[in-house]
Amino acid sequence: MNPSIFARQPLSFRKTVAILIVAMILMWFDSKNPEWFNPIRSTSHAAMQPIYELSLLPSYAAHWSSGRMQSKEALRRENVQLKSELIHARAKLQQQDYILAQNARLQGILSTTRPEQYDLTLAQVIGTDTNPLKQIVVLNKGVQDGVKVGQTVIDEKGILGQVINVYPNTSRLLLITDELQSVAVTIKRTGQRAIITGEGTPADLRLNYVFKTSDVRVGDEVVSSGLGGRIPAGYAVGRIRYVDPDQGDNFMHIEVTPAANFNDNSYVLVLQDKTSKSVQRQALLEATEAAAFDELPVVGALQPVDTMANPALVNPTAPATMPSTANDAVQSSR
Amino acid sequence: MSNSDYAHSTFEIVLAIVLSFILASSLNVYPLSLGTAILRPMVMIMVLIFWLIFQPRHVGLFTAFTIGLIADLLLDTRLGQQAFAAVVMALVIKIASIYIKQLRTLGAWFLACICLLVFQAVLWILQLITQNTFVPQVGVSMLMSMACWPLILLALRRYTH
Repeated sequence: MNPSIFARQPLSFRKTVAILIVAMILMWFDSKNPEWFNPIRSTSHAAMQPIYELSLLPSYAAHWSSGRMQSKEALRRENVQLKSELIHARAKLQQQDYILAQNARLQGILSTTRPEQYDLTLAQVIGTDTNPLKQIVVLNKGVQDGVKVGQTVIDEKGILGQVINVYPNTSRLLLITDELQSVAVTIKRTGQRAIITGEGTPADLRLNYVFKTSDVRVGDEVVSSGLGGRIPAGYAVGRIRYVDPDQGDNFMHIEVTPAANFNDNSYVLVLQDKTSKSVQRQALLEATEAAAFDELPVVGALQPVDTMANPALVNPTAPATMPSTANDAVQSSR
Repeated sequence: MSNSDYAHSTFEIVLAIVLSFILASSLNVYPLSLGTAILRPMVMIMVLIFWLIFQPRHVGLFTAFTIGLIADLLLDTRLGQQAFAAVVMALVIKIASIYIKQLRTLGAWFLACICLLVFQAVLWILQLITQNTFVPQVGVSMLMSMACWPLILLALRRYTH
C-alpha cells in the first residue's frame, strides 16, 4: 500500500463547537417533539425500500436451490407426512366449526358480538431493523398483498406484533417485545385483565398493573384481551415465568416468557380483515364491545386497569347505544 | 497496487465520495437475520473515516455531520446522536493530522480503529445520558468494523492521494 501524506487543513474549533451545538439542539428537539421529524423519518424509510426488495433475491435463490437439491424420495416422504397432518388438522377444524357456530349462538343470546374473522396471509421475515435498540423486523409482504398499518402479525404459537410501516412489497413489524409496545391481556385461568409491555429483548415481557392481592401463579397462560382495540382477543401472548410480590410498589413484578418465537421465525401470518369495514361500523362495534365489557363481572379492584386499557369504558354514552347496535351487529355477522 | 502518480480530478473524487456513501448506506440497512445483524459493521462510518483521513479537502466537519444525520435517520437513532459522534471523530482525525506527517497502511488502520472507538464511546455516553440505555452488543459491531476497515482501504485505494 502506498504511503500517504495528510493534506494540512486549518483546525477550526469554533466551527466544530458550533456544529456540536447544532447536533445537541437537534437531539433535544427530537427527545421533546419526536413527531416533528416523522416526515423525514418516513421518507428515509421509504428510500430504504429498494434495498429491502433487493434483499428478497437471496431468499428466492435459496428457495430455488433447495428445490433443486432435495431428492425426489425426500420430497415424497415429506408430502405424505404433510398430507397426514392436513387430515388431522381438517378433522380438528370440523369440531371447531361446530364450536364457532355454538359460540355465535351464545353470543347472540348474550347480545354481544365479536366478529373476528380474519384472513391469514403468509409472510416471510427477511431481516431485522438496523437499530439494536428496537425490536423491528422486515416482512416480504406489502401493500400489494393487502397489508396495512396496524394489522396484527402472529406465528403458529402466539402474537408477534403489529405492522407499523407498509411499502409496495415489504412492511415493517414492531414486535411486542419492543419497549414502546404494550398489549392488553387477560390471564387465562382467572380472567384477570392486565397490560403486557416489552422489555427490549427478544425473550422478556413484563406484566404490569397486577395488584399484590391478585391470584397469579407461575405457569399461568396469558392471552390477548382485545381491549386496546388494536390486537384481536384470544391469541396467546406468553406464560408467566416469575412472580415477585416483595416490592415496594402496589403492583407485583411479573415476568412473562413470550409464546411466539422472536429469535428465528422465518414464516409469520398477517391477520387481515375479511371485509373492509366502514369507519362508522367500526365505531358501532367498538361501542358494543365497550358495553359488553361493562356488563362483565369485575374481579377485585380492577377498575383502574380497565380505564387504562380501554378509554371507551369511561365513556358514559357507550352503554346507552348498546341494545340496537348489538342486535345490528349480530344480524350482520350471520 | 494502484498507480498514484496522476491526480484525480475534483469531479471524479466527489463522484467517488457520493457513490461510496450511497453504497455504504445500502450495506448498512440491508436486512440481516437476528443472529448476523449483531456482526454488521458500521460501513457508513468506516467509509467516512477513510475520506476524512485521505481527502480532507473534500470531506470535513460538515460532511461528517451530514453523514451522521443520515445514519441517524437510517438507523432510527435519536436525531443528532450519530452526527455528534461523527463530528467528534472528525475532530480527532484533524488533531491527529497535525502530529502525523506520514501515514502508512498500518498507521491508517490504527487511526481508524481509534476513530471507531471514539465514535462508539461518544455514542454510548450520549445514549446513556439522553436515553438512559446502554447497549454493549454494539461493541461486537465496532470490533467487526475495526477488523474490516482495511477492506475499505483496499476498495478505495485509488483515492488515497
